[in-house]
Amino acid sequence: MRTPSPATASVATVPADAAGDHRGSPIPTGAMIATRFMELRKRRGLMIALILVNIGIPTVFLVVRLLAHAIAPKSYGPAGGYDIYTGLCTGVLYVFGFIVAATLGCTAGSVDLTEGMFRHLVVTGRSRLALYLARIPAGLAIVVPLVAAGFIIVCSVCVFAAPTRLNYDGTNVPAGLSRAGFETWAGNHPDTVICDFPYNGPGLPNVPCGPNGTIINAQGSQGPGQATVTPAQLKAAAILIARQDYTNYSSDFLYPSDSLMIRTGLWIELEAVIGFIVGLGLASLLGQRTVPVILMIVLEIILTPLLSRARIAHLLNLQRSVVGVAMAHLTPGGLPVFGGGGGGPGGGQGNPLLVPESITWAVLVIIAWLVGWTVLGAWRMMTRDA
Amino acid sequence: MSTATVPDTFDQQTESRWAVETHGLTKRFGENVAVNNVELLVPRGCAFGYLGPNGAGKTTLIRVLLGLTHADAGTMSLLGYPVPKHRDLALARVGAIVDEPRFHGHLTGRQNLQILAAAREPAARDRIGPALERVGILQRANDKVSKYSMGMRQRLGVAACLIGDPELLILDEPMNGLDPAGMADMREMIISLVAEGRTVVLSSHLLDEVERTCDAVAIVDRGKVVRQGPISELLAGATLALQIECSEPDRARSLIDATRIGAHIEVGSLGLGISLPAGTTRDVIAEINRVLVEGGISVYRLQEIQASLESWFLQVTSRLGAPE
Repeated sequence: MRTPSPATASVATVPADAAGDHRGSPIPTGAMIATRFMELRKRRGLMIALILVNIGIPTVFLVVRLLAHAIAPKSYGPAGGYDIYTGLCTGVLYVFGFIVAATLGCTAGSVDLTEGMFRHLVVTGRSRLALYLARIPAGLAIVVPLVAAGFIIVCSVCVFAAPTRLNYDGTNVPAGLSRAGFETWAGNHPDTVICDFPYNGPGLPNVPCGPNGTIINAQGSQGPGQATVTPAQLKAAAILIARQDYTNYSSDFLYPSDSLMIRTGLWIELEAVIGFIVGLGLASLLGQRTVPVILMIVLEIILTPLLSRARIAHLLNLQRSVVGVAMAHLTPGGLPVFGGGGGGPGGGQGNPLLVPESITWAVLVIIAWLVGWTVLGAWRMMTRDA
Repeated sequence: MSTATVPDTFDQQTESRWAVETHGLTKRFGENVAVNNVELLVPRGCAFGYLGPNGAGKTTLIRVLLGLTHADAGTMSLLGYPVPKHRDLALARVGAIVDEPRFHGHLTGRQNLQILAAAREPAARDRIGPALERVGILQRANDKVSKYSMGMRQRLGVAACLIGDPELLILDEPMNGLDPAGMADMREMIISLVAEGRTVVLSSHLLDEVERTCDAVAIVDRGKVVRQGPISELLAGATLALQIECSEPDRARSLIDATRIGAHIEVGSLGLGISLPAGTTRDVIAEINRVLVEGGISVYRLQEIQASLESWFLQVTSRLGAPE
């Protein structure tokens, strides 16, 4: 047994910062981010579940449609197209992307604590803020590509398996016509236009339509109580209808435009980023995963649709401060608003179904949520007993 | 007890003689004082045992030292760096296991160490292999931790300490879960770490292991450090025990009582068990023997029982536990 004698140890005594370590710095190192990424990526069960939800569901849906169309093209329409795109983006990718990201954020925010690793990390002397911030790029490095993969699959199918003719109000119409072209086409198909296209206004001849969408007694004949209608009058009426319907027609496409796909992609990614950051902060605050995941799902699929539409006079500002409501106002033009309704060229902007909110306010709300939850999560991590 | 103040400046770090230094350190959980005004001085370059019964506040003190929880009062320093002021600098040279070592079960042992190495200096990554080899789990380094036994996780915990090339290791119950061979390995490793000039603070209730491993100890009870110093000096203050096999034990007892040397005597099946007050010289043993022989008692065996850390610990803690 050795006799204890106070002595300076022979091992290295160089201060950490002297070696360029910057251990107290709040900025995480690349190695910290990389190992945190590895830790999340290696959660096989979680990763499989996230991939199934975010990529598997739209893929299976599209594959079934492709097969059905290949087998029975007259019964089943093309797998892709503009309508499928808007439906999948708003109803599936937007919602599931958020839930997937929130689940990963909640995992990243809680597992160090629940699995006992947090204590080891704190004992390294590394800034707790740096430990927290390292999770953000690491998690986003998983979430962003995952959401992008699902979105690219949807875009690919919707573009390459789009219908060759536009279906406008149940009628096949050539796509991409100019106003004059649309009117010319209408003049050449008066029966279809007069019988099938919506019209709200005066000036149409009173002609009956048959069950197959053709005008009865149109060729100068005269039925009971009906005036004679000439082909020229029918053509003029069709052009009148086409003129009124052109705005609606021009918002329908065979497949989404490049511009819409880019804007939709960014919008869905932003929603996923919000889901991850809020989930991370909430889980770090609560110190567990299950409850935050449930809360995030409730926020996304119950609270947000309710609060974005129910106009409660005394709570309007509170409703406006919900991130999902703000995101609904940023819905790209041409997409329906999540939860049904809306759509059209304006997207969420100025949508009468939504609680009114300016774009500036919506952007500020989103920034506040991102910053606020990051601050809360980091604060809890820095003050928590390990 | 030294009354040295904790150095407040960075430059004082190299001058500090103590690996761990606390003054008036206190930590409360509501009404319960888990760490009570602790004055602790751990010299550099030794193995230091931190002993106490369950619930005495051992782990809480370690958690306070490492910044895992905050102190309510007092000052402390690690390797001369005042903490929490220079906590990052201090912990850069510290490795620690606190409580049961737990890791990400879905990762391998090596991957867990990679996460910890990333939070340390870049050179820590190069120490992962040697650390795993040193603790004897290199062959299982690529297995998932969820498949590790408790003992293997303990070893991985020590490896996690070693990747920082620590000047000070604080090990909380490192023998837990280890089989006898593993305990022997751990003991040898601690001794070798000290031989390299490192300081090891070993918190344990395995008194035999501490006695075989450590140079100095502190006894903590109810949150307070009640004794500390080199083991040899502390045991020198323990009571002296004798075991005597003789004829006529009852008469022998009467003869010894008559000498008024203040011995506590118990008559048992093996003869007499005698406890002599602390500080008793060996001449008293010879005097007892002389009294018995002159009294006509046949002495078959007279043996001095070496005071062990365990017996001393029990003396100290039982005395503390007695009503005053």
